[in-house]
Amino acid sequence: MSDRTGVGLVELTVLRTLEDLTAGRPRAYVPSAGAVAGIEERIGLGPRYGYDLLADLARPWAVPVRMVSGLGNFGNRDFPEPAGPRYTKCRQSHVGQLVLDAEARRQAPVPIGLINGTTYRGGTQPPLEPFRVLSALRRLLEDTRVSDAELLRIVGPPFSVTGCDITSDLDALMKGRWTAVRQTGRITITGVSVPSAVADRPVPPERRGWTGREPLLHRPVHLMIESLSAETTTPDAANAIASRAEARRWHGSHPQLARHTTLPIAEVEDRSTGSEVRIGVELKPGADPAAVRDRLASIYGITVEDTWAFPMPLARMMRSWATRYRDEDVAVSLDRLADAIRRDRRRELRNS
Amino acid sequence: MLLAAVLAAEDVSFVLVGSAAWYLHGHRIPVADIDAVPASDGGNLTRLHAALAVMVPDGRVPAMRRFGTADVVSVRTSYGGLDCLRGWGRRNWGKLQSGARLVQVHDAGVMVASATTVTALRRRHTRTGS
Repeated sequence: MSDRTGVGLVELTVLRTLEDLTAGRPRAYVPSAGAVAGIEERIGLGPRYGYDLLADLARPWAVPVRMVSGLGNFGNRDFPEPAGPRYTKCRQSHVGQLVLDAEARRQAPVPIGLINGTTYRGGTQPPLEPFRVLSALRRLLEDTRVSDAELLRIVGPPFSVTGCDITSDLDALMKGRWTAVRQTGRITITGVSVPSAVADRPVPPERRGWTGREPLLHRPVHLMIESLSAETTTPDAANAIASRAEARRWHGSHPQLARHTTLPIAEVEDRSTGSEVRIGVELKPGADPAAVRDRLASIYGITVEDTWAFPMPLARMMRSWATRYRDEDVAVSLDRLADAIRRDRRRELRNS
Repeated sequence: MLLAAVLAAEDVSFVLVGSAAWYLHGHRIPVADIDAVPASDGGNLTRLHAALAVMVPDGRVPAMRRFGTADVVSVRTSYGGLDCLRGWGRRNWGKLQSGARLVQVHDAGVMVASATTVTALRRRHTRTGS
């Protein structure tokens, strides 16, 4: 791993390849096929591995700060597989360019590794909210005697790129211990009232033959799932929820287990688009939205549990970074990084 | 733990080992995935495969053949993760079953390996680093 940026060596190779291919053309995107060929030429990493890596660095739901800016279909929350490398284009993002500049000593280091962590590539170091990390490091540069508690308060808990709620023993995690971390998708009660349960009545003659269902798009939903962890696709989550509404043959013989596992759900509708997650849940008459929300959160996929750890106490990691580069103009590089993150976000909005 | 109860309700014959079994023996430890040793007969493995096909959201259940041949089959279900210890189970099924006892999880009876077996297995896995 590179010391000045915390970026992995293979990722750095991706950026260097893109820099070479886009040299002197600040707005040019290059075909991903050319990029993966360049990566293979440099380090012998095969095109399939190289493209997976490239796509990971370009996916908006994978890392807090993207080093590659992608054009074309790099996958979405419904179907994460990207289109083939012949059909997509990419270039280093503004942040990616800063990483290259920092590595080439054209500017002071930037704490990308500290922000992005390593969980997106299967590691255990959690990501952090970019602007909070920058604020904490600025505070540290102003006053090296700032307390650990204040630093940790500024930097905040691990950051869910996809907007999930994170629960964990934060104190242990911040001290660098292995800690179980749960990411739970955000489930909102929409406020649409659930009809009360009524006893079955005979259908009046004039309504017989009608299915009694409105077209799906016009039907109100009582719960809306608005985020999922990066490893859960929206169809998987929708299927997992729908399967809890189905009757199983053992429901009669195990009524208590059936009560614990079955959800009073009438319909599940996946309205997600691109990187936005929106799964609507329509409840059966008489269901309690708050109770169903809590039970939905217990479904694996809506909640995901991992074991994470910082390589050392987080406050010490930040102090060590700030001390190591105190002779360079780190304050300016932090400002540039903040600016680059904002510019990349604007660019992503334009590209989407 | 719900996963073990649902498998039992689906008439899958298995013995629970690992942290879930340890938990059911009264040790309050965190349980993430469950480890189970299923009975090796074809009918049981077919029932296990069919039950998992309903519980795995993306429908990608390992092929039936793997349950017959692989040492460990790991499956991620909507109730949590399941590790089927097939290799070890094939060799020790008789011993495992004789010491096991039935524990009610909700209203489903789950066979749990004896505390001695669970401890021995945990030691063995710690030693091999798995």
